[in-house]
Amino acid sequence: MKLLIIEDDLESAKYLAKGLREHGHVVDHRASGKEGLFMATTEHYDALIVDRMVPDVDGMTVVQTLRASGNETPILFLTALDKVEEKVKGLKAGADDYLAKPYSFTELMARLETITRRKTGEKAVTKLSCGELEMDLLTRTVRRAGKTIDLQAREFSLLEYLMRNAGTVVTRTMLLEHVWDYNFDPQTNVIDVHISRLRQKVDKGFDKSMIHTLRGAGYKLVA
Amino acid sequence: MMFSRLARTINSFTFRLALVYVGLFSLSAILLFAFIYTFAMRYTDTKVSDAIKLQYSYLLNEYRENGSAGVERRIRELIAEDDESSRIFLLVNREQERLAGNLNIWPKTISKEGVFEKEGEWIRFYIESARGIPEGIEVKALTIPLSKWRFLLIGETTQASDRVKQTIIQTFWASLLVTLVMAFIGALIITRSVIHRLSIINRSAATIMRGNLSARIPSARGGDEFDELSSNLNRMLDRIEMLLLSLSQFSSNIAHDLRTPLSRIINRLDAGLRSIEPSNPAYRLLEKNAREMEGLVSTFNSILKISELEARPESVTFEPCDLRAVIENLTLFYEPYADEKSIHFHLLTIPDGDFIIQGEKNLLTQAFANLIDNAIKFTPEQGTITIQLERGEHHASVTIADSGAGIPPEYHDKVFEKFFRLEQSRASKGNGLGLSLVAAIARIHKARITLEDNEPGLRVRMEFSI
Repeated sequence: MKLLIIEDDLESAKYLAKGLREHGHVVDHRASGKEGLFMATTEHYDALIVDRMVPDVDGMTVVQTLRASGNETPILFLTALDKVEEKVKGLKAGADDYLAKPYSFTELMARLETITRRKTGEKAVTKLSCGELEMDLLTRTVRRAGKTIDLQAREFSLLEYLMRNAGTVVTRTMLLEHVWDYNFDPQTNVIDVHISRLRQKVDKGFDKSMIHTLRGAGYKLVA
Repeated sequence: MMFSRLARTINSFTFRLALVYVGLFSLSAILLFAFIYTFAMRYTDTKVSDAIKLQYSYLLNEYRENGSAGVERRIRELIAEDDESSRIFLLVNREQERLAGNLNIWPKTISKEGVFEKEGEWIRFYIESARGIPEGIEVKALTIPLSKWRFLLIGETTQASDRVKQTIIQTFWASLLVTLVMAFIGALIITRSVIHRLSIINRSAATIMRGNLSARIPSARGGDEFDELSSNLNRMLDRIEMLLLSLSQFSSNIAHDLRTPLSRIINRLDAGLRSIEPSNPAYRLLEKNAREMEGLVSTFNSILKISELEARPESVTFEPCDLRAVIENLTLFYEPYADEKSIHFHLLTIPDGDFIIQGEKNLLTQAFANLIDNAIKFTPEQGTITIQLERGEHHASVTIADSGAGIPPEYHDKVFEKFFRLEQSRASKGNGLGLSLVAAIARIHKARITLEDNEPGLRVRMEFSI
């Protein structure tokens, strides 16, 4: 993917760019909003990583300007302000996801992948599938290799999120935010328990496990 | 309302002070009346004596000029012209037989012994038998011998002076009553106006305590002692506000300045972890550091959040929030986790009932999540956790009761302090900020938190007004 980072803290940008390049992405970096906006409008990028507070033109304006001109490039918003209101503001302005500093690289990678994936394949689908797993969003039924799996409402949402992001890592925070709409960090490993319950239902009786736990990173649904 | 306002007035210091004033005022009124009374009584008494003496000299003259018959005639005339029937006369001979006068018999109470030798004596007696004057009336009289054969008693009933006396006493009671009523009303007015002035200051203080630090006491600029107090308090508030402002500026600067280095450390740790193989001994070290950093960031974020909430005014307007939905969702969220620990997890609620309060859903969810998190953390296997939603006429409450170790009563207040951790919880994960955050969230929602012994365990109750 070709990515643009708009961030005025040079060291953060350097590490971020280095990590992204290690993952095989092409990365451009600009330290001011004005330059970043210029780059974003003249070049084609697969995603933008925009810091909320950059000189000249602030991040919020960058996002608004791009969206107003019809530019639909996925945008991950970074900010030093960890507040729900800030997050809502960023998303309303047109950002696709939001990450508070300090963040971990794995979290950023996971979010970047989901927003680029969502942008490209986001149609009003009624059926999701991943390998032998099939989900009907209308009848709210799940089958694996033709065998029906009974899921509770939350378990269904959890699996739906994993299926929509099949093949990519989703973090605990992402699950909390998107499945439960929770913006806090539970001190206990509640998410692990939910995942292991889901795994019980999805993987039980099959040789191949589809729901993987990646230590220190998150979870991944594999076909 | 009316009654409570009166009760408040009567209980006030100013009112008590005013009552002392009323007491002193009444005492001086009583003394004044006692003086007037004594003076008036003495005056009427003297007047009566003077009148009697005048009649005596008149009758003595008559006796010298026209003898006993003249005196008898004069007495009849004097009685006839007395419209008020207050004059008393009696002229007797040596045998004490009545010769003239409206008194029938010589008063028994006055000794007959040597009466004719006496020069003249002031006496008081009650009428036993008289003409035209009822019995039992008190008389002040002078008894004097006109000669060796004629003896005279001239008196005056005390009816007139009794009337004066009565008038004075009635006036006294009436004016004392008026004085007391007026003084009481005065005291009320003084107290009310002092309370009114003080309540302006008190109301402003309450507004400020609710978190509106910019509120000031309105001052009339009249320059009296209350205005001076108000303006001094306002100046003090200006100073406090300035200090707090610079303090919050200071902490948000620190927060901002810390985020960048924290981000960099995390970035470097991430980069380091990616650049080496997991088999490398340094990998575990880096990974441990990365975990430690995560904890640090979470503590840091909690502190910032608490500070932000503590600085927020209580009067902020909220959206309607369904407490039942918040609790039901959290129950579903935590149930599998409690189940994993073999904890019996119950939600008790009334089937229909409105639990809509004014609040911020995110914050309330966070607060209850912290409480449920704690409950699960400190409840042993096979224990019980009960979450109960209750509704009163003007309040809704959520109670979370566990069967864990509980918190000794002496620590019930302390656990809300930042970084406070009980000995028993030191070993477990957590930063000692969970309950401080709950307290901060409760404060801005004007919710009341109470901790109770669940015997065994802890029962936390949060009550919201509706």
